[in-house]
Amino acid sequence: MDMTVNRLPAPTWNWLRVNEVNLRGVPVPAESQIEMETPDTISYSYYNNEEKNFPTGIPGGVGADLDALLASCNGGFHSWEIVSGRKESEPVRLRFCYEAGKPAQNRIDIHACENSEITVIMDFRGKVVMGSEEMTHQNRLEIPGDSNEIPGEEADGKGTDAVAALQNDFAAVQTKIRAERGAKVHLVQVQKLPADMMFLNDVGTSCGEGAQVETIQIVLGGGETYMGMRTELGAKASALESKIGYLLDKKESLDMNYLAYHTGAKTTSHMDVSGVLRGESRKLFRGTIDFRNGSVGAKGDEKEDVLLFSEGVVNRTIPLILCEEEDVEGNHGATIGRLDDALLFYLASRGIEEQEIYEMMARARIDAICSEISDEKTRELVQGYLA
Amino acid sequence: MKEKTWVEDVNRSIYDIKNEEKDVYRLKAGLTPEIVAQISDEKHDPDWMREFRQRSLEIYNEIPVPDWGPSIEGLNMDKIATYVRTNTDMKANWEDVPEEIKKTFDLLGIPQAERESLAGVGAQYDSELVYHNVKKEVAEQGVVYTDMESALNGEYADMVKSHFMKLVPPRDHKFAALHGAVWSGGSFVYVPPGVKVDIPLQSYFRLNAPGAGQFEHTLIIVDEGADLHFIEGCSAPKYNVANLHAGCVELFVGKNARLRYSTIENWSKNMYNLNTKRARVEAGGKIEWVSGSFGSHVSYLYPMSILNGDGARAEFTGVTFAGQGQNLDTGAKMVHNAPNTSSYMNTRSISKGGGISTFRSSVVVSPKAKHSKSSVSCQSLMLDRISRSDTIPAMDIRTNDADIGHEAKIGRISDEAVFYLMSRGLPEDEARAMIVSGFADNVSKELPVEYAVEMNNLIRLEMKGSIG
Repeated sequence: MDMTVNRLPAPTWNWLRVNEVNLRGVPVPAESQIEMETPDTISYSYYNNEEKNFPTGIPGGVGADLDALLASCNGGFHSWEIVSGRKESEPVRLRFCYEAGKPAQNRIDIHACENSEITVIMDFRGKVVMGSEEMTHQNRLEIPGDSNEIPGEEADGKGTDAVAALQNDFAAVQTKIRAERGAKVHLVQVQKLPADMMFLNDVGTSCGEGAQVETIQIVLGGGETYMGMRTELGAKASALESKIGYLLDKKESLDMNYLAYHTGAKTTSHMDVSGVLRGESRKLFRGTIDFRNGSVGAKGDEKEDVLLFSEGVVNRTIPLILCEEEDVEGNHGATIGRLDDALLFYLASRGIEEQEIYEMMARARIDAICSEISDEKTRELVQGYLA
Repeated sequence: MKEKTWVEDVNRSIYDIKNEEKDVYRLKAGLTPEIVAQISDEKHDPDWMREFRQRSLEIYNEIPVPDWGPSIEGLNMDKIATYVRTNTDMKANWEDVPEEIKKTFDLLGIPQAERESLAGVGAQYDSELVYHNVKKEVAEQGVVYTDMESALNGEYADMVKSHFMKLVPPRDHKFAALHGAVWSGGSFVYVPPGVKVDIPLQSYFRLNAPGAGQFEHTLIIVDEGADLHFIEGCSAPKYNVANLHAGCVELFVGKNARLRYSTIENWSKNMYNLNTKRARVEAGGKIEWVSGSFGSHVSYLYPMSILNGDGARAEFTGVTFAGQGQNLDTGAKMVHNAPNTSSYMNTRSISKGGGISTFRSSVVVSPKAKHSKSSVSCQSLMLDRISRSDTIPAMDIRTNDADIGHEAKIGRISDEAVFYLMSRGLPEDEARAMIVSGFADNVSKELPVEYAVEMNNLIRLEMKGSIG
């Protein structure tokens, strides 16, 4: 099927080709196995479609077309729930291991009842990662507008990237987080997928009063990755803290759509995106902070830091701040470029080769985010992937 | 509450003078090949321009209305007269301009500005220039400042033909195509190599006719090593029917040349301002945009700078003030297409009384633009909770050898700042107005003092409804 994903909530000039992405020929995936470890204090259930509805009422960042795709798969969904007042430091661990030629999907529901605390760690990997053969990226289409022509305003089309989905190596995961009053949810996702795989990773979050959702997402590989997260900060003093780190190489591409909707008073959101582009990799970050009426005293921040290491990389950034409330504070800052000359000189004067400096700085970016993960096993997992 | 004296000093009525439509020639409303041919007849177009207009009309009919900006549903081209002129020729002496029109421009301060601080003035009333003059000493330097029609049919015809709508081709967007079909009026400027024009030239555009469009074309060529400051002003009285402004500005900045293009836009609040401005800058050259947007019902305005030569530079300094009934979508576009280029964008937007202000920008760095730098700073101020303020910046970087910075802030007037000023004896409303004026000083300090005063007056005028 054809899908439109990662739609910018306030579109801009079509010639920039950032308003949305059209995916063509997406295969209908089958539900895949998940390796899981669940602490005793957290209840796990699997529901098929007849038993319970997946909470699609909490929209994600990738968009409604993914809801429709996954609903059409006749699969069920996994649900983890932690009861009121319980705080569990041991995480739920989920490992998704994708096989070539088997389009896969999973739907995850995380429900944190009042004043509870839960951590969920997801590890997305492909079996090829552990093998010795490195797969090539064959079906990738060039992004329209790549030429050196001076852009016009309307050019043609709808301001979309059109990408043909790989027929076989495809996976999609959708996660819905329900954080009730005073609850804390920590979501950690680590991705190391094969170079010819298309991966859709969608998160939708709803927060009760004073609830806090903290997410850490680290992308260390994957042919075409589409990530989206939408957080509804509808209740007073609810908060989102989102950190994203990525290290892309060769022809990998990462397309993101992150939205924080502030409708509750004194809500806060913070998005911190940091990454490195090498080879001919491409990245597009859409980050939106939307202050709606009622979000009195709300604060939102977006910060992005991108290091460009190679000649052929493409970095695109669209940081939106939308505001219809007076008493709010929104900030965005971005720095994009290569390593600072002074830093490069300093390290080179200490006898470090330039290539080594770049490797060191790339790794430092991921290390900085990795160090925020409380779980030691996951930190080791990331270090293993980096190695 | 009593209004402040300095607010009362501002007289909005000068912009709202309406002259009765008499002794005018007006083409019927709508857009057809016949109407476009009539404009060609009126303007004695050469054959290539006749064909250009007709082809532009075809393109206009092919291209959809933009689907990403403010709604322009209230604009019905079938009700817009694309050509209206008074039955007078262009004059080189203010005394010869018809009394009623002269009075309007007198009240707007144009002749006085010409005497005191300008090197030349062009004044357009509806679709045609009614006055054009350049100081003798400037003309003697070889500077050409004339109306577009004279340039098109005179000794600069070849230069016009080789530059006209080359930067903004009709296929660029729907209203560029419209402009290509029905353009009328505007100015042609040529500054020869090495010539520095010490004081600014100004064109002032006045749209008096209700239900009409103004489509002036400004073409400026600043040759190698030359220097020019060009000021554009515009206003119109308010009517209950939609008016349309779809002008086009094309600026060619030569090697090591500098051009400053300043605009104080104060169209009436029934105006759809769908204007296109673009500059191409050659090696070592510099374009400086200074832009104040205060008027219009709906605005789409994003001057683009194409940095096409090694070391070319661009600066955009802008302020937008959106009040009741206004949806102003403004910003800038920077295209780095050569090595060592640099761009800087510094904008402020203010929303009040239900107004919608959107800052929209793009920075595109091509693979050729090694060692390029770009910095964007946009700040937005919300003065109440019935207004709206959005920032939609985009960056597209395609080389690893560039330094790009961006910062955006949105917020309200700080209570601490108001409290501080009040503790120094200012009433609250005056303190707030002062803070807003200060917020917009990035633009006012870049303008000649007379225009900075006008701009500050406009801000104070807009603030009048929100305070006191």
